[in-house]
Amino acid sequence: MLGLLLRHEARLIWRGSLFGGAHGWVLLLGFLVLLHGVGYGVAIGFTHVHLKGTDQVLAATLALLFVGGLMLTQAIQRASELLDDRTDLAWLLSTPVRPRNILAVRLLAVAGAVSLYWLLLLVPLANGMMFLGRPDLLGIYPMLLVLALLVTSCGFALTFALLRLSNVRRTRALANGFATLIGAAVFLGGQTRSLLPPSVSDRFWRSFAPESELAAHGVKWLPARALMGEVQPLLLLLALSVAAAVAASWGLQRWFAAGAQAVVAGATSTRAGARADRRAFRGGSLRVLVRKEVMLLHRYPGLAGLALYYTIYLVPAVVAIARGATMHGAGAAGARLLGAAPVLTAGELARLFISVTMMGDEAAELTRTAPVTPGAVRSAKLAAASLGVLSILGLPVLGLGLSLPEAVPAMLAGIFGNVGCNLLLGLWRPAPIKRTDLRRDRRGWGGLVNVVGFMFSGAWSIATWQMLQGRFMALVPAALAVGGLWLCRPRGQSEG
Amino acid sequence: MLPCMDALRIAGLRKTFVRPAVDGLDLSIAPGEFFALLGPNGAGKTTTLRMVAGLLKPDAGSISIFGIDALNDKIAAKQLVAWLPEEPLLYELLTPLEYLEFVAGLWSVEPVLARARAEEILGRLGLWAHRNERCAGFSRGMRQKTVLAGALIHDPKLLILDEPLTGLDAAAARDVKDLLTGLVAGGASIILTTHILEVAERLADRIGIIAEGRLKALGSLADLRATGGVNRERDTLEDVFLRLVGRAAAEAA
Repeated sequence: MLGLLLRHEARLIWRGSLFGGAHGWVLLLGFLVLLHGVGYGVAIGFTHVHLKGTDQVLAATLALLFVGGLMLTQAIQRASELLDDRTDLAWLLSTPVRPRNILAVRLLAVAGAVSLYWLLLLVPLANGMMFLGRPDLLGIYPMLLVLALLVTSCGFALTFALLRLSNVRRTRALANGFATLIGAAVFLGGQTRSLLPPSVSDRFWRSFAPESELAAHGVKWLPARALMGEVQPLLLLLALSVAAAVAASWGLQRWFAAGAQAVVAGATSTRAGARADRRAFRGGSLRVLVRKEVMLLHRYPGLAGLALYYTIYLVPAVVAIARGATMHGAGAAGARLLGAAPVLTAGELARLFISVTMMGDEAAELTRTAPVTPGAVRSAKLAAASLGVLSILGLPVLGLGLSLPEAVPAMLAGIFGNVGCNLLLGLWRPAPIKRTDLRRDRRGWGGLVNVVGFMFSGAWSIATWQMLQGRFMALVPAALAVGGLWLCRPRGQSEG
Repeated sequence: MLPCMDALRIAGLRKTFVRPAVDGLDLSIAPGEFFALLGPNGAGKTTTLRMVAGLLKPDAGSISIFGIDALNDKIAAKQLVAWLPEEPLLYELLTPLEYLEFVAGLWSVEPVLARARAEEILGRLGLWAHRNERCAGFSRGMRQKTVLAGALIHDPKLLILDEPLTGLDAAAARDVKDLLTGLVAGGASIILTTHILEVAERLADRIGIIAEGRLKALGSLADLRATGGVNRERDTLEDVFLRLVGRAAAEAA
């Protein structure tokens, strides 16, 4: 039975992916060849890096914490998305299949999904290193599996514990909140040099290294040693991760079944309250369109957590400003972060919000059959997404602008450019927000949209940083972003 | 008051996907008429309705709604029309009141009037007690009634309904049927599709039977009984339907 469910899940994932089409294998092969080419190039640079002793353990530990932390963030988000899945989940639970088997397969699917990105990133590098006679990173393969199983088990445990304590709707919001906090901690941990005094920062980093090579054989450093290729720690951690996955599937099955039943029963309804009764209707087609989009954004489960996640990028810049950094004085590099960070954040938020208005539109046919123009519908979505960005970034950008007025023109130019690019990208090619959106994503770009959008954000951030330094080179990344957007435009007319 | 003309006139309508879905359809519906469009699965019923509602562009032919060319003056045509698909178009995060406010605004209904209509319609459909609950927790019947309320709030002259009674219990189905007959009595025109032939038999003034994208028969039940030159007075609509579209096509449904 488990095998049947696994094959079924694997087939659905494969067919729903970018490579699931007629010549998907060819595309995948080409993609892997390209990645290995890049990985080999990067590996050449790493062959000159020789870490010894405790430095090796430090590097391995930090890598595991970084990757594991981000994986945990994704695992929690995906576990909470299970509660959104009303289609095949309800049907599966009505069959004679045991809930623990359904849960086990979903857990493995999530583990696969959270590890996929890192597999694509790190495996070519590891293979390249091995080809160059440095098999140091071969521990990546089993350790990614270990991390994926462990973090997914934890993510599921957290999500279903939250479900037990509250209801479906709050669980999604809380789970996304936890995921945001963990992701933020990982990001801010990497920014300690910008955030903390040097002596404190050094102590912080050294706490992740053993005091001596002898101490490195302690239990605390097992994961690092497993990543470095030691067999016994690796086998132990593999056994532990498998045990955790099995324990999660067995232990959480009742909570999972209860939660799924609550979702299927639609136990997400909330009352608006007596105030809604007294409020008069408001008219105007564009007004109601914008109002509807804003309401749906405001109520979209987990959106607050996702939005908060993106605003974390602003924190190092704000700290740099708080320390009195100026554009041209001490800490100028940190001060220039203030131009790049809000630009990056604004674009990511814009793409997130416009994708929610597009993919979250459950009744698109209603507006298509209404006496409103498609332009009005699009304008309302763009307006709502822009309002969302403004509501989150308006005050911080104003504060940054007042602190460093000379940075305002460049910052605003970058924000407008990036928001414009990402809004249009999201309008033309909306990014899937949750698993069920992947089934509705008929334009076939899937998660690739987020990669493209992030490249736009990166380009505009670099352009802003260049502008803050007064360089005309800023035009190059900006032009590349606009050109890239032009290539992403939809071709052909839609029906109706 | 709209000038006296057909509520809906379709001429030479064609739409092809891989194969012809609608193949030269001609049809007209008078104001105040209840028209049922029947046919086996894949006959072209939903495709026809979607073209009338403005969701699909025909490959050929014309559609006019109360004299308005629906293909060239879409906004004006949509002003008079309400479309109810088989799967209710509802925003789960909105309450029925919020949903009706939104729909009324799309059709530019005056807000005070819209609010009053919303109260009346929700009351009639037994949804007033749930007016401030988000639609996410609604049963199929409640969702169908909510979208029906949305269809009625802007006082449409032509209602296009695709399987409006699917999944409703007897009480909910009766409410909807009574509402629809009341609308027709008030001058609205309705074109609906249904697999429940008894609904068409009891409610429809005229029935069209479509198969393979073409109209096979058109008329009242008495007219349909008389097709083929033999007057079969005792035939039910099911008998007529099966005779006209063929048992094999019906069993494929």
